[in-house]
Amino acid sequence: MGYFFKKKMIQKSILLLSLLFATIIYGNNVEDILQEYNQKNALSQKTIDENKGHLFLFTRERLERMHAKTLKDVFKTMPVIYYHENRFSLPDPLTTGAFDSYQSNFIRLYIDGVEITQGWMGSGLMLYGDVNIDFVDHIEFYYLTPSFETTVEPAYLTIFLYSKDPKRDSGGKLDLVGGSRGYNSQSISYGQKREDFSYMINFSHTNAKREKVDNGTPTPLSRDFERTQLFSYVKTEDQIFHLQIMKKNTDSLAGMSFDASPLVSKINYLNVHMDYGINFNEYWHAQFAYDWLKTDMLQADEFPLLWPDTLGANTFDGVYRNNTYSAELTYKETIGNNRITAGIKARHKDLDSFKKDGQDALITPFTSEKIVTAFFQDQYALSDQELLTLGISYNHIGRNGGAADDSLLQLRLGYIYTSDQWSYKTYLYRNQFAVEPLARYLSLSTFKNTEPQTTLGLTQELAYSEKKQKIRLLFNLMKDEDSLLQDRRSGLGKETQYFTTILNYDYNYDINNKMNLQLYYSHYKDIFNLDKLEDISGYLSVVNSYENFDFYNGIVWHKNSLDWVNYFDLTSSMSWNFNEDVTVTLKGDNLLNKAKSTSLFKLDSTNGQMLEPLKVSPIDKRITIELEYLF
Amino acid sequence: MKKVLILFILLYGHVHALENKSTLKIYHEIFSALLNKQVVYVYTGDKEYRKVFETSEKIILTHTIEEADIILITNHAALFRIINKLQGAFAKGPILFVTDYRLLKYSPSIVGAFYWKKGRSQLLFIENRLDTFNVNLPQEYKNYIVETL
Repeated sequence: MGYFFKKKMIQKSILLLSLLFATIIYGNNVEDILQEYNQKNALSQKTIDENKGHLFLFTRERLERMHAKTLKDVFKTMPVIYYHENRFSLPDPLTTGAFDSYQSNFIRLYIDGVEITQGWMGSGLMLYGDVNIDFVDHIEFYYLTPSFETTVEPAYLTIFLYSKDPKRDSGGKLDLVGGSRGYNSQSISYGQKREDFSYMINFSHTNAKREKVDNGTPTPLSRDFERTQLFSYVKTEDQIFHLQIMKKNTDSLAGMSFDASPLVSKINYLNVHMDYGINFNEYWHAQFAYDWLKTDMLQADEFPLLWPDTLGANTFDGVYRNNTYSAELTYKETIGNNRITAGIKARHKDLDSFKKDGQDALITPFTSEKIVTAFFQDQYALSDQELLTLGISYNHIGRNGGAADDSLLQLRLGYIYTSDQWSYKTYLYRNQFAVEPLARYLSLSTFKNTEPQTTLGLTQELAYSEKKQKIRLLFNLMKDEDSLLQDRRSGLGKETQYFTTILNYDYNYDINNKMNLQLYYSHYKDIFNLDKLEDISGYLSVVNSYENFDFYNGIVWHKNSLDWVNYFDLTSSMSWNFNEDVTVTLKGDNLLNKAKSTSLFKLDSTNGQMLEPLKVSPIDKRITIELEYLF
Repeated sequence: MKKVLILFILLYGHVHALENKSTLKIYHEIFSALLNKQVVYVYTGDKEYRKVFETSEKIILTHTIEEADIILITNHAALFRIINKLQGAFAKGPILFVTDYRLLKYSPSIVGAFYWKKGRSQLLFIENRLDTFNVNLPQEYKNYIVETL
């Protein structure tokens, strides 16, 4: 009896174990298939172009898990070129903290493949560097020389924001955020796919109450801003039209004050961007874009202001208006093993008007720049796994007002190998960059005939990936000749050399739990008036889901040879998915209050002596609570 | 030449939003689980999905809804057209399955949805609706079943 009972128990146990095992196997099977589907069908898979450069991708899933609300939340995790703000509190990753005009024109920003530019005032990054990204599906950062089909003007970091598609995000979304110091933002989106067209509209408002910066006076520096933003598009299978409007009223930190103690420091921006793109057929594509910017600056100090247009006065009430028109026509065809891309692009930047105290004050003869670019690119498939790529681009920049024209030649030679698990990429390139119009306008005598910067470089990228993990190593060697960032008085920084290596490691435990690690080391020779600068930094993030809860923890670490101080920016969030339509998130930014800070230089206006610089971090310590409602 | 084209597609992302192999894999998995058979007859008016399903030997596309075991619906207009056409004859007719969570509320005849939410694909079946159609999903799907909407 006991024997039969035992035998039955064993049989039952085996059966139960088999069922359990089958459940696990099958369970994993559906989950694995879902994970594979997620990876291969993310919208980013539709837009990624490995030949654009060295890619750092933020998929929709990753952006959602990070609870990234602005481009700044993403940019601050990037290696080598990380997020900074200049003395006007504008996003300017390449700022030195000194008294120069906008420095980050080497970085270009695109939305749905179309460049957003502030034309005369500089790269679109200036206003869009911390743009609200509720309308964004995914973001691609391409390091180093991009393929020439993407750029009108040369760049070495291109950022591509791609908007949500109503086919996957139909209906509406309301997003409300409240946080420390009264920070608040509201965003509402609606998108729909109709039979023949689809459209999307996003409207957002941000009232950013930010940390003040102590400048040793009773009135600390302020960088609060209020931003209202509209993003919209309508598209058919072969045409798309975008309209974007941004109004940003900001307290502009130190602004035009030499000693960083302004009496008044405010700038109001109003920006409009429109573009229209059409695919005539599989070969021909045309695109037109228009950007308009009004910059209203109100600055006052006890001493003369640093901006040349103030003419040495202590107050400045100036309004600038500038237009930019861009057009391009590209042709793409695959002939045998060659993928040919060629095209012509043109851009016209105008400084329309400058008014001071309400009076017309535009007296400079230099008010316009015309850029014409012709490019050709061939990608030759050596085999079904190897690609050889050659690109050449010629830019002619014509200027009025006696400023010299520039002729720039860009070259890029590359080799790409890809297999199921391994990939290797290498590029050899030569780029040329001209002085931007704003810098030239503000100091025409200095920059009237300035030689363009020439950059020579070699990059290599090796990656290995399998089902659950991916490892990647990237190297870059680069040299700037006649650097645009040089100190023209001392000649320091005329020839800068760069060496950078970046290591990325991603591990997916399962569909809900993922880890990402990034470490990098950079070595610069003759940069920012320094003989040598070393930077060693990293980023570690972990995302987890448990039942209705999602968790994100990410830490950005920075350290460089200026002081070898360790900086840590810890961001954590916890989301409760109450149901399919409602999510509540608690998030903390810079929780340790130890995020990277950089120097903002000061000059004693009475004797011209350098004062001890202020240390300013662009990342505020902030706790927010967010409510998302889908309808 | 075909291999070269595949290389270009690998380098430039996929030409279409739906990647063929993984899309066929998941939909065949779902449909065969719902019908408990390997070869399924499917109707969809969505051009993108039709293009993908055309390449399958296990998912056979039909030209009419009457011939189908399952109807895949991807937008409001298609859903209302099909509901009107079926005129309440759901219990005997084909199973309805959608690609948008919001469509689930428009008809109790839709047994489930496979859709995107915040960059992640979501699979969802509704138990009482599965019961109406006498559908018994395999054990591996239990985590994807909710009692009611």
